[in-house]
Amino acid sequence: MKDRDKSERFLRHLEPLQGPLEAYCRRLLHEVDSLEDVLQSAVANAFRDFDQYAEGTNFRAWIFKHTHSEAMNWNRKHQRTQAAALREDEVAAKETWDAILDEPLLKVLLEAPGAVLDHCDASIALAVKSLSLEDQAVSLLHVVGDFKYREIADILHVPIGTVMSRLARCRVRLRQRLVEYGERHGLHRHGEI
Amino acid sequence: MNCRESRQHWNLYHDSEKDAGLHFRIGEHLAVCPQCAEWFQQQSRLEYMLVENIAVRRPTAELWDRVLAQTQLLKPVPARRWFLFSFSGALACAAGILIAIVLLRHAFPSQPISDLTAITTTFHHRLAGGDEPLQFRSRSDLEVDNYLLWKTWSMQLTN
Ligand SMILES: [Zn+2]
Repeated sequence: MKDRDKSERFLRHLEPLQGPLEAYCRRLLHEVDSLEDVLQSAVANAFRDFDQYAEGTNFRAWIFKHTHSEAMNWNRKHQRTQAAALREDEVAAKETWDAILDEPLLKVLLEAPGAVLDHCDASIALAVKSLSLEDQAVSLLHVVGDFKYREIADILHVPIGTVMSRLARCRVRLRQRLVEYGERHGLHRHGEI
Repeated sequence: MNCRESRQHWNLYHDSEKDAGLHFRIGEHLAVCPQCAEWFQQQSRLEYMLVENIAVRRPTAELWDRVLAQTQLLKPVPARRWFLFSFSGALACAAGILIAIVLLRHAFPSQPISDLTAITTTFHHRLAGGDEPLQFRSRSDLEVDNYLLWKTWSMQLTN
């Protein structure tokens, strides 16, 4: 009876988060084929530790922590270097928020983003995948998990300043990718809003 | 706060992070600088569109059924669904046949039982073929019992 109550409580918490958890893993994993295994391990581990979860605290952050750790373990186990991912210092030197402020094509993208975004679903997915794993995690926790900087810092065990700089970098990177994509495919509509 | 400083803080402003003082100072600048106001609005619009694109959050039902079944939080799904389907199907058929017997017995009181069996079979085929509307459907054997009792009882009353 106690076990049944535990399962019911756990499932009640888990159900509204299934979509975000799935989306998070789908984006973060090197191999989408392992999605089911990763989710299964994460859920099993979280359920095993559910007695340690204090009712009324942040279940969302708690289950994401389990899922993130499982996804990263899986990625490490099936290690593959990401060709497009740059080293942290390399990225920092190349990309700052200021660096693209005067970019004329960015201006065009900002004026008519739909012209590019409507055509590049797969390209955005690739752009996210091309970030370093740490940057992806920060970006996805923010976008998919809807977490605040402080929560992301807790989940990833990093200082809040690191979260801020990684997120800013991801945004610059994604915008650059969109600009490149739009330019390559002639999608930027100059002067059109 | 100047244009450069305010734009450097767009991330924090957009994400409603950091202190209220910073947001206030940025807000003050945006109120007097239409270029930055437009830039902020465009950055935020692009960000919302990107988020919408990246964060497809609808769960895949079959995937989660399997995940939860593997972790024993749900019973294995295919077996469970098949069981429910077959069980409710059997109940619906049983209810249909019994109703048919009751109705036909009522419609043809003098008919011998063997003829009734044939008529029941025909009725069942018509039911299965969709030529007869299903009058009652339930997954609960108790509800089926109650329905049949009520149906028999109401027909006896009309006699
Ligand atoms: Zn300004």
